[in-house]
Amino acid sequence: MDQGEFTAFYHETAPALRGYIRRVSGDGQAADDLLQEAYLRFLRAKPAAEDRAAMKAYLYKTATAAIYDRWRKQRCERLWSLAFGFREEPPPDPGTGDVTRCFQKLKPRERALLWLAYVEGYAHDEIAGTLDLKEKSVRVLLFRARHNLERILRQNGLSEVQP
Amino acid sequence: MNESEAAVWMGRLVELSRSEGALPDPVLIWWKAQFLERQDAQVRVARPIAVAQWLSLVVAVVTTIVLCAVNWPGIRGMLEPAGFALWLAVAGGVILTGLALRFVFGE
Repeated sequence: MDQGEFTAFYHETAPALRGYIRRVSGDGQAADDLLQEAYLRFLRAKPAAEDRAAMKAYLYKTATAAIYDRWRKQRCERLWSLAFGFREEPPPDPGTGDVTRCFQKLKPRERALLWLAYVEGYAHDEIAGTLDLKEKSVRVLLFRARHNLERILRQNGLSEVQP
Repeated sequence: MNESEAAVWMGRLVELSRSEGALPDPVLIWWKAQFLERQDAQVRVARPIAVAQWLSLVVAVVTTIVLCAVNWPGIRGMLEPAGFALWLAVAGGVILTGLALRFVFGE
């Protein structure tokens, strides 16, 4: 992949990928860092530029891995902070809007599932590949994620609102 | 909630995500990736040299220990008359040599 191809691919995928990272990580401030990290990992893997769909799927996989790595690192730092009484960092920005806040109350994997299925329009096998799940589990997990989203929306008085 | 309802709610979420400021510059990401790739290549090239350096250090340390063990009676006989000060000097020399090697191999 040369620079021109990368720039075109970036402009095609980055806005949606940043939305995915922001919603799944729940950390608006770190979204741009994670976006860059995802593209850096993607470029270092030297992807072949022929199959656009496969490249995009791989990009989402690397982004998901970057989000998980950041969580692991933050968990370690939090443990150190608790052990040595360092100052706690402020909680991540949940974003604006009631829908966003409701979405943040879902589990991270549920957020990723819903985004990949209903924003990116991924098939179950593609979601399974991106999130390292079994294909058969995706249907059940998606059903649960929808059910939980509905429950949270209802608890926040949003289920009656016409979306 | 059925699939189409979920899609509508997610669409609403996407709408909220649209006004989130400028994206990072792809040119910078591209050059950073190139730089990291070159750095990886340098590390790959230098790895055999680093391994050889560590191997030579291990061989040197083991050889020194074996030689000292084999010639221990002679070394002891040489150091004993000089007393505590010479023992201290030898210990200091060993520690300084270790630090010097650490500094060289740390590079």
